[in-house]
Amino acid sequence: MKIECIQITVEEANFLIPIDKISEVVGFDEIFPVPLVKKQVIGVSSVHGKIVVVIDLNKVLMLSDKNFTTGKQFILFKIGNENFAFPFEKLLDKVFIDEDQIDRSVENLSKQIGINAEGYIKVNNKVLVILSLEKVVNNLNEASE
Amino acid sequence: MKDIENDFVEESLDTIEKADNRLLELENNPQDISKVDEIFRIVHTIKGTSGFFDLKKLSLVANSCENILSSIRNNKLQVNTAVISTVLESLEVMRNIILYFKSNSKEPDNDYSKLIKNNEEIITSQQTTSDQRESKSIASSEIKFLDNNVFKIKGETLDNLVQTLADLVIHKNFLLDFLDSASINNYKLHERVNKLSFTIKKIQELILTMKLQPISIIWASIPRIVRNLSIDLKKKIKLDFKGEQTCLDKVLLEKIKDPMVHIIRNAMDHGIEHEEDRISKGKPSEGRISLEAYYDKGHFVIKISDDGAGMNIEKIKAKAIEKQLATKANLDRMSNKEIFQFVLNPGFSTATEVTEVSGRGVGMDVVERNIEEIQGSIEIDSEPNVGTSIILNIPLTLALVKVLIVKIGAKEYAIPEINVEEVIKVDEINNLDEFESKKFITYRDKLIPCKDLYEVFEIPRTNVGNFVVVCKVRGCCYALLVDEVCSLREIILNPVPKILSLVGIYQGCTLMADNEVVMILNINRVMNNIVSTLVSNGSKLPEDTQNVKYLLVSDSKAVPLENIEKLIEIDTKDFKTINNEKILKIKDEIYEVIDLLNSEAQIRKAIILRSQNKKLILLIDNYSKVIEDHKTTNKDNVIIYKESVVEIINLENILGKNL
Repeated sequence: MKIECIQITVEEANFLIPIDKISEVVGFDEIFPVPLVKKQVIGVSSVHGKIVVVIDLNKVLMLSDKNFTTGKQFILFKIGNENFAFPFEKLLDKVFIDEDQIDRSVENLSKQIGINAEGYIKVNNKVLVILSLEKVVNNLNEASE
Repeated sequence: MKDIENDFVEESLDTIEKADNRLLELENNPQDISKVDEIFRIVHTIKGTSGFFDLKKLSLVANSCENILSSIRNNKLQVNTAVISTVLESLEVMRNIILYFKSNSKEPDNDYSKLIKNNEEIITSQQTTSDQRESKSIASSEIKFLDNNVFKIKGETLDNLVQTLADLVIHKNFLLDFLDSASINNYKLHERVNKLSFTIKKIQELILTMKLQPISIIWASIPRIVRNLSIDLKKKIKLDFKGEQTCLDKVLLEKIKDPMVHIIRNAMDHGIEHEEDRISKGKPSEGRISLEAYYDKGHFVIKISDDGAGMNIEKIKAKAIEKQLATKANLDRMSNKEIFQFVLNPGFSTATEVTEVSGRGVGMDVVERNIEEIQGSIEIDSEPNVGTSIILNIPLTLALVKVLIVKIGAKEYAIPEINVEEVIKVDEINNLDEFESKKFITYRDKLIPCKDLYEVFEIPRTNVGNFVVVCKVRGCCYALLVDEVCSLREIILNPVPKILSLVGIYQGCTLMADNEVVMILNINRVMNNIVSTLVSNGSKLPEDTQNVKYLLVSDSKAVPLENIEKLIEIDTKDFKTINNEKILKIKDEIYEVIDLLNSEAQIRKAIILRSQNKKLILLIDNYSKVIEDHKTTNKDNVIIYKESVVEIINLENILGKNL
């Protein structure tokens, strides 16, 4: 089965995300920090009257030491009844991948990326990690516990 | 089809509850056969409708229950406790089948043949000899048709209406804010906006009224629960209700039912004494549980009281020490009311025996959590051999919650109005005292802990704290230092996302008209943080590792912290001298004044010292700091602090010297 994904870059690393998991791409006027939350949470904001938790994917995946800076676009997604968003740098191509071609041996990836990934796949001779947004949120919720 | 199913479920559950109550009334007055007719009609209707949904088991149970009721109607069976219990059990089984059907759209796999057999046996085992009543004509139809002006509205539609109204309130608030902040002096515009506010308020009241239901709806099942439990516990208990028609949002009523039942079961098991104990104490043999509902300060209040043994304060203290929730010194400084609140901690039970009903220490914390979920609060009061009262304070609706918006730096936070006792400007507080990093204020003649929200949030203070919000939690007052107090607002309550809720101090969040997301503070958790900080520097410290703490009042004198009731400043002109003793009257109390320095200054710092029931005022030079890293000596009333000898002043040695 073919899965339609978008390719994005976060801190110069490329990832694939299945399009059906994404609500939309948005911008936030302001993100309000919430005291005492984990460093992977930038804060809260709102879109269309709904409250959104903004996650720092860079810190979740331990890509770099850089702190979040404003002026970025965000991918909005929903897990259960809760809305989340994370900033990214570039929105690259739309990619169709074959589900059977996904290598699900996530243990071959770095630990932090592996636990948040569905698997990886070779597209145009480049290995791309397919992120699981459910895993990102579930891991954050568990890490908080 | 789903709608018809839902109607059947809701109506059947309602009528079964009615049947329960009629049965209990019948037990008290077995001659009132009209009650049997009513119960019979309820069971008969359920049996008839069950066929429509292919609920065969429900139909069989209802049929066997109907047979008992029919035997009573035909004078073949006499009403007694066993018969009442059997019918109650059948109704309970019917209720469970319907609830299962509601969730699973089918009947449970349980086998009810034993119950049906028992029902048959109770009919055959009893021979009725006397004619209890004359033959009765077929009951006239009591079917009431709905008036043409009465409509059924789906709960979902009503919820949508409330949500839309809540949005409207937010927009109105934005408009009011905008008019204020932009300093627009257009009289007509202000007048129109005020009229709009008034109209919205009226619509709000009307819509909320539509969602309100009397508390009697959930109280209806209480007599059956109390009856069954009193039989199990072998205790005679009378129930009193007051304020049955006091109304609350139906959703909230459903949420408070379980906590209320839990409190009643606790009262029956632990509070109310056995008959012989009550008689030996000179109490009526029958225990009493009172349920009272009323409105107070725009909130719905339920008070559940019993006339039992009351809480054993010594056992609670011992348990608090055992569980390392407090030290003996802390407990000595607490009021009884503060000590009772320990029972709200998880796993806190003073019961030596675990019974079927309670004693496992699971419960009151869950009760508190359930009440907190609906933005309510809980308060406990108790008196030995007089009884215990538990007060649940609930907002009238959850659609719009009143909060106090406060500011920390540039960010706004909300404090539920239900927790707010008073807001005080810092410069109006005479005594914002600090012992090392711990702040206290004197509020209504009591020294209460004060927490800086910056410290709670673990962020460096950037502004001056201008206001203190006195909050009430579990019946006790605490203070929160904030930068600014913005306004009292009605907000739409949104559940806090899981990742944020795990922080523990947030109980919701809301979106303001300008799109700012404001976190709503769980004041109970914020204040628990204060208590634990005061109890020990972390969360728990065993008693034997705690040094006694002293307040240094001069270079060579210190007062035990546990003896200090209040720090005050007084004008020496207010003293009266009687028999060479200085006396000061504060409110209705007269204090003896002891001056350590004999200073000439007119305005003096002072301490109200307390020990057991004795109090006096000690005039001092200054209170510089709290010391705990001292060394004890083999001499009473002397310690070594930083290589210097420090004399310990307490009430006993002052009175001793004076005598």
